[in-house]
Amino acid sequence: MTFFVLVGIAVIVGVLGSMLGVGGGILLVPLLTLFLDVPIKTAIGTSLVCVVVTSSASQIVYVARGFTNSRLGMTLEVATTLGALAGGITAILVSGRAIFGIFAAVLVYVLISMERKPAPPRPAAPGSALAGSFTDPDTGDEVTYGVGHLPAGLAFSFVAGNVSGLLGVGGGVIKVPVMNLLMGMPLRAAIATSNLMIGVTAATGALIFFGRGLVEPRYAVPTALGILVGAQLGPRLSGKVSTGVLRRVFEVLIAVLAVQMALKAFGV
Amino acid sequence: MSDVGGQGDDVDGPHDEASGRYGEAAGQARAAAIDTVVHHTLVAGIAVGLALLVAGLVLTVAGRGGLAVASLKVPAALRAAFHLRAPGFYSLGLFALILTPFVRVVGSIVAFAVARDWRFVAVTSVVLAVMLVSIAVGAA
Repeated sequence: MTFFVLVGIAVIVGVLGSMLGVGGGILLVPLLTLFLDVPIKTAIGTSLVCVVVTSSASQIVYVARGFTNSRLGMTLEVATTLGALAGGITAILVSGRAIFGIFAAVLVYVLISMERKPAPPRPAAPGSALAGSFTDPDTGDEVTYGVGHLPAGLAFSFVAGNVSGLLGVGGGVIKVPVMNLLMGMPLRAAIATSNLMIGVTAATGALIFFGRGLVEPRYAVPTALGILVGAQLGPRLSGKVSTGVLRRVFEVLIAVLAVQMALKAFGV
Repeated sequence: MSDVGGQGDDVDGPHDEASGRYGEAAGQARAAAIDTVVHHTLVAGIAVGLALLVAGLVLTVAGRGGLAVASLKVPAALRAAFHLRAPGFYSLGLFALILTPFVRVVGSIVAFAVARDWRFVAVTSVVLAVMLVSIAVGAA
């Protein structure tokens, strides 16, 4: 019975995530711990597998369209994987209640970042080894862009990787704004490149959890299958459901989960 | 001969050559080759992982072991799978899914090396090294 409940939850998370461009982990970890009483570290291990699967599946589409900047992605991945390694080790060592508290704080950050008005990006001069280009599918124009503020980008990437390995989330909510607003990448390229990094980063964290026996097939198998189905359904539903309504539902859900996770942190 | 003309729709080539800059065109060709490697790796990784998980479910339905609580270490999982026990397939399937980005990183190193882009061979090798450390930490 639990198997089908897990598949159902994962399908919904996959649909919401793929339609709103957020990783599934931010919803999956709280849902598993709060409603199915999955221990938090097991939930994180399970979620990391789902994040890897979602990222790999979306990357197939993004790579084919040429949006991904592999050179920049690999450069920033040095920082994200180091962050994920540190985060994964931290997650093994610290108490479950501390993780609940940090998770609640990240949920609040997600809520704030969704409400924030986007600032205009700062274009960087093209021509460095990390510069990239892609063809805009809407206009058919070739978009060429440069990449600036690499040291700051690396620092934020380390933090994003750390959050990923510690909490079992993708960390796209940190990486996309950093690449778009700080480093000057067009949003489409930033989303695709963030997605590439999420897969490698989450895999780094997942390898630690898998080795420690915290990826339990009874949770990971149904959720991995469900999230793949959901991620396929999402884009097909996107014309039929209002993104504005979906966004509201998501925000309310995040707010409720943030309160619940905070209560768990205080042992309530 | 006629096949060549038919590919014209989605090839950017003529546009690049028109710019007349050999270096840029060659760079883009190399980038495209890297993307192709990445693409195949991702498809193969997900397909293998999914096939193993589905095989596990079929074995569970057939009464050959349920959804295990703990994942097996790789050697134990291989033994279980060899004896057609479901838990072996589940653990191997999940491991294959987790390893997909890892294999993808290895593929990128090879692709950058073929392109003689040594700086990014070095950068990507560091990423690979960190992933190897995380395998070691998990196993320790």
